[in-house]
Amino acid sequence: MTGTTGDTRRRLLQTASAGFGYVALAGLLARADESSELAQPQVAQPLAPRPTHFPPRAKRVIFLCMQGGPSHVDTFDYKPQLIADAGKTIGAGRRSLMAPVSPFRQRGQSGLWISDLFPSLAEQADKLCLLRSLHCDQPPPPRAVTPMHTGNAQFVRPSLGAWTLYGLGTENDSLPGFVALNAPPASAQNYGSAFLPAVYQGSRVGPSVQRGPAQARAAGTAPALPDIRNPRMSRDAQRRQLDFIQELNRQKLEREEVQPGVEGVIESYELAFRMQDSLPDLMDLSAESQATQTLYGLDENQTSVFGRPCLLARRFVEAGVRFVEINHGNWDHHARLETDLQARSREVDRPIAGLLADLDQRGLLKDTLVMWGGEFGRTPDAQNGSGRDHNHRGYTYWMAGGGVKGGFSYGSTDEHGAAAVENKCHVHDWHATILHLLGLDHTKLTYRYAGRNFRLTDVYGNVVHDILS
Amino acid sequence: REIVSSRAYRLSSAWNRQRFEQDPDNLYFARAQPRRLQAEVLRDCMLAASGRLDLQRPRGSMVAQYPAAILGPNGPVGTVMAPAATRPGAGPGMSPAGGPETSTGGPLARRLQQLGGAAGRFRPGQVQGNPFDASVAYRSVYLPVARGLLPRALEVFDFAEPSMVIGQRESSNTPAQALYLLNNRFVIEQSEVLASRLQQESADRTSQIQLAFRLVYGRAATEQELAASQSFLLQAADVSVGLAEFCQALFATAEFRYVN
Repeated sequence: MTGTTGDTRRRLLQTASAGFGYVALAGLLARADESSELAQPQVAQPLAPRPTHFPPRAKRVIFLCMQGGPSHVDTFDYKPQLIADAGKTIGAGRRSLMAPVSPFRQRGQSGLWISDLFPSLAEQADKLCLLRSLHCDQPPPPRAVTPMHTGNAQFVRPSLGAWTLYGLGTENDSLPGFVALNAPPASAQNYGSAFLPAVYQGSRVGPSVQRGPAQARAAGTAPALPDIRNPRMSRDAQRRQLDFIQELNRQKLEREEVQPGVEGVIESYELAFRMQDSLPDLMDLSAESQATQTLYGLDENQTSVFGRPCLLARRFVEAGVRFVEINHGNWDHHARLETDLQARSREVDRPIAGLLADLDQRGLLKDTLVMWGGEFGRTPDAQNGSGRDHNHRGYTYWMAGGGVKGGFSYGSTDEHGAAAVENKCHVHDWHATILHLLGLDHTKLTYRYAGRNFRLTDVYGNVVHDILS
Repeated sequence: REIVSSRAYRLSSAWNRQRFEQDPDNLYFARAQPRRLQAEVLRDCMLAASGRLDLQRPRGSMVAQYPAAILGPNGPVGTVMAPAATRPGAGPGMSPAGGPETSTGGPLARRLQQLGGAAGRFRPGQVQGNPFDASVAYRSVYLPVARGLLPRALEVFDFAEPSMVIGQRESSNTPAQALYLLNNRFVIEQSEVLASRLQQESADRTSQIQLAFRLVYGRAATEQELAASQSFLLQAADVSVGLAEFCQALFATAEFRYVN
């Protein structure tokens, strides 16, 4: 191609069938071919159970979402040096260090260090797997709650529960597959399906829980799903009406013979009618024994607010719901940490301990993944004298059940708990690990939207293999 | 114009065995592809059938009538002002669509009362359902769309997520849509209004059924449909209740939800 003036690079590429343009085009065509073959599952039953990438360790998830950012140094991340250095202005913070508001003790056979704020949960220490090196990108709340759910603070993306349902389908076709209990108002994005089909979005069940004491009042009312009950008609009258609707649908189907859409409509009405029957029954907690109700703390005002959704969550997962998220608010303690953290911990301690014990005794814990945590932790140094500021550089999550090591602690923060230093685990890594536990490869669980394949973990995420049992 | 006047565009969606066998996936447009009605169209069609559809633009936005607390987790708890437009006899855009039992005050005012209690003080912990579900009769394009909060009439029928760029809406078929059409107050209200319209405009049952089919589907009922409708109406204890349930059933069918 040298020597003759006509053989410029441009000319070569214009004429040669293997020019860059051709190479690029061939690549595009191959890709288009591939993507049409691996097209999204446009199946009649998008919620049918789907095979996993490899054998799962957990089949379902209960996510206890503590909104506001519970302090890790006061709860599950024991820092003796923080006690020793209390009052000094050293380390990462600009303000003086504040000792944990409650003493820590070693618990269970495993000797995990757990704060006295969680006396009941501490009795189940050998079930807990502490992840003490979480960190995330985006500090200000409530925005940080979103990446915790979707992996992305900037754009609207499907939530963890929606990805789970998309990946696994559901085991009970008369209930929603992804349930968000007591979700705060205007938080639809956190349990939404974004570009995934709408069937994968979380169904918000129960009253919305506003942060603060309003929560206690709101939770007293019966939880409900929108439009789950007809305000006028009896069940029999409605069945008669539905039979008429289905008769008209069937006549249309007979007239037009091949109409997959109409078949889908017929199916969805029967499903809705079943849901209408089963959901209120499932949410009626009076069928539970007194002992079970007490186990979840329903006998006390302070604990019943969170105990009720915890008991509901057990009933949901038992019935085959894939992903249940329970929200609990008001963990954002910039001041009065001692009193507020004590109150919040007390509200959730007995219900969570009850949930773990109950799942265990029913044999559900071995394949149910329970996770607890907030969108970030809090600083070791004091804010406003009596509180702690947001801390996204290091905080603690715990998991229990479904394929994680019990009585185990993974990773650590620095001597005061300011930042994760050892075996750091980003939110993306945490997401990748959850999907891995469910038998899904986070790099393969993709959905094509806007011309490319999307994942929960974007281009990040490493599975934390050390915590797998 | 060239597109809409083309043969392919004007094809019927009617099924034909010979054509189906030649083009089972309809890749060569052997027939028109049945499409689902979009959320807005579905709601507007219900209002149009009941005769309630208000083509006027509403004054202002419903969003303005709700305090910030409802739109965001950090908003202050505010006081709901009784909006001028919801007073009885207010502007044409906010005419009540509450059905036969509508009393004084627009449905919005009633809705606000439900939300805020007698004192008009809004407490977010007490919100039951979506505040944007108030039964207003104007066209769906004027319904409020706020971040994280959509009117249910739009939300369940694949409305595009407002905080994303969506090139094409999903076209899903979910039980939530079925529950909406079976149980939602708005749908029930439109059915009742349509039922009373049928009773006013025609006397005997057969012509009421035929009128309903014309208003809802734009065609006459077939023999079979007429028979099924008549036997359904015969079972009803109360004539107007039965007629309202019949109208709701028409709204809930696959036929109403598809463009053929």
